[in-house]
Amino acid sequence: MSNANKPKQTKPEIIKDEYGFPIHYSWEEEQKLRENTRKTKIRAENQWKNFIEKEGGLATIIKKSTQLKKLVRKGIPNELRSNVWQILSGAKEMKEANPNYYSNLLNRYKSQVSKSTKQIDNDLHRTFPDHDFYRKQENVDKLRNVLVAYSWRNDKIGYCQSMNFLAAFLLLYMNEEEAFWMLVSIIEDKMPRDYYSSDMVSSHVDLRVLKKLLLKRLNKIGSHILSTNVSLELITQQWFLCVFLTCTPTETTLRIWDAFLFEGDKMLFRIALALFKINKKSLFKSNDHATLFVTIKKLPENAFDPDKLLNVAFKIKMFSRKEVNKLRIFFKPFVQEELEKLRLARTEFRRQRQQQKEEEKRKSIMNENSNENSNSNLNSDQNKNSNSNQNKNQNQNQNENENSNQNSNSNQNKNQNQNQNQNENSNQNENSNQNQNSNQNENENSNQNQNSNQKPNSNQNSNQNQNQNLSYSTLFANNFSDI
Amino acid sequence: MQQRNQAHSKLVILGQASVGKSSLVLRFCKGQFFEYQEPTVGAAFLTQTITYGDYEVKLEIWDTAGQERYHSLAPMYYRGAAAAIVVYDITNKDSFVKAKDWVKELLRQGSSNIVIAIVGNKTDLEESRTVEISEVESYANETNLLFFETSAKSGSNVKEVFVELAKKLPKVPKNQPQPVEQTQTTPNQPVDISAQTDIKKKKKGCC
Repeated sequence: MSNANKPKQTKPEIIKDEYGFPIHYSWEEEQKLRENTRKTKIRAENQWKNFIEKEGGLATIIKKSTQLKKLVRKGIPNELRSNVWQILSGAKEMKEANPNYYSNLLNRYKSQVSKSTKQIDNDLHRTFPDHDFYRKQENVDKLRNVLVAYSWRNDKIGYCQSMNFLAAFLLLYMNEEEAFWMLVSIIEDKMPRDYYSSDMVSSHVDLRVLKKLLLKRLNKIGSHILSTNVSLELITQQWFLCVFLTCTPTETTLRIWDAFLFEGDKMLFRIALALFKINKKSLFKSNDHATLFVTIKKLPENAFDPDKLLNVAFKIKMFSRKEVNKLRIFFKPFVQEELEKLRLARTEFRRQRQQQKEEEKRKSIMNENSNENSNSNLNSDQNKNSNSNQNKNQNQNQNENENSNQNSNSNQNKNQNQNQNQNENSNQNENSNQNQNSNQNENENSNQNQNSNQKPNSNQNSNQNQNQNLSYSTLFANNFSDI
Repeated sequence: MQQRNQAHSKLVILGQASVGKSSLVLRFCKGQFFEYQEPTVGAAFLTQTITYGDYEVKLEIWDTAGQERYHSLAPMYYRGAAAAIVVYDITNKDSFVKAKDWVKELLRQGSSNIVIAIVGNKTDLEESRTVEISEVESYANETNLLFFETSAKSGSNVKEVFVELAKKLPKVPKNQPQPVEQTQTTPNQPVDISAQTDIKKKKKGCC
């Protein structure tokens, strides 16, 4: 047996960076990173100081000036980050235009539970668990408030894993309300629509766009990577959704965030391309998809020199929003079609499984009833009740494909109970059925959202039939040849 | 070890959010457990070699995001997978329902010979159990799955899941870089080794 299987009970000693995050690299590398950035940080601080003096205070800085853009690209001094981020992102403006919005939202939905709040509660302690800030319950509560408030504000998105990291990172720099508006600004303004929504269409689109840009801008390395069939999306999705949080060393992440909040989502592509460009050599050395996957996954982790990364990123020439948007428009219908196929295929699986269960249930009831016939006088009534309940369940299930498995199990159990417990229990069972269905409304809602995001190609029944012949190998194929 | 040309087998871990997918992998590959494991966004990838008897199997383990909205990338995970571990949480009935959905999808859309294990995790929370062993056992029998209950926290039964799965995958004899019989075996076609071992249809209950 492999040695790695011997359990080590103790957690390795955690080394942290100056922002309180555990580092996944050596202390020497951390020292190198601080040395790399020390001079530029001091220079940037002085330039910011002069700029703010000239402008007559932070409050009056004009968002679109080229001088500000240059300064932001050099890095915002850490003590100014909270304020400058809020100004650059537009969060400050939104907050001031909507006083009490955040607290009202929290009060209105206080102690209400949803699918999102359940998932949020599952993830709270799993968000930066090694950061001292989140060792305090009061800060975990703040994180909960921000995420829960957002989930109620925007039920099309609710809560998407990765938002926990965004909110938790923001809370290190600002209070709850400010972090909430920053989250609003990132999700609803900086990122394309439907990035975090229940089908994540735009996120998938951007992963295709990145692959295309890789081929277009860094053709040799791009062709090498894509020729191995490495599942690039499985890595880059995290980069983009978390805006490189948990991927790059914190100093680098902060610099990416500075630029991202000023220049928007275009920055994600610039940084990703720069990572590939800087690490050309190690990428060419990796020849199979597995080695390449590990190498690519580590690219941001090893970005110890934020200045180098950002310089390379900004030097990618003629990189316009127009180009990105054009590619997005091109890929979107492909992605939508594939997601819809997948969704319908899954609905069909569940429907079939439900049918199978119903069939088995019917058989077992028939068997049991015929066995009991000679022993009980109550049999005819019992039979009637269980059958009527069964029909009822069937009708409900047809409307609830997504939840059908859950129903089928519970219904099966219930029917078994019913057979054992005779007539008097049947009403009770019906009630519990109803309760259960109401609990499942959340699921249905999320499915409805999915539907509303997409334009169904034809009616559902005909699509379901097509899906039986669906080959998944065609899903998520590259559509590069057409562009 | 690294230079040896081994058969690589792709193994995917699927299951509802926070059932302990990443924790199982981390326990198996690194012997570690963190009470608060960060949610997986996208996927994690690890390799691990399993040696048994005179053979070894190199696993490519794909640990996937659990939240439902990430599942549209699932076909990418299980494309070409020789084995799958479908995880549920023994204290969460919904997660078992979801696990059955995954099994169905894998049987329909995964590789034709895919070997699947259904794994009930968190046996350290026995007092909060809501999914009974008997229920899963009969389901596993019907569907011809391996069945285990594990605790990534205590480490109980974790290794066994991976080893029993590995025994059903393409293997190479130890110390032979490229055996003749392996040259025509692609990593995605599981080899039935039940004739050589006693694990055929073996079902494991709770530890």
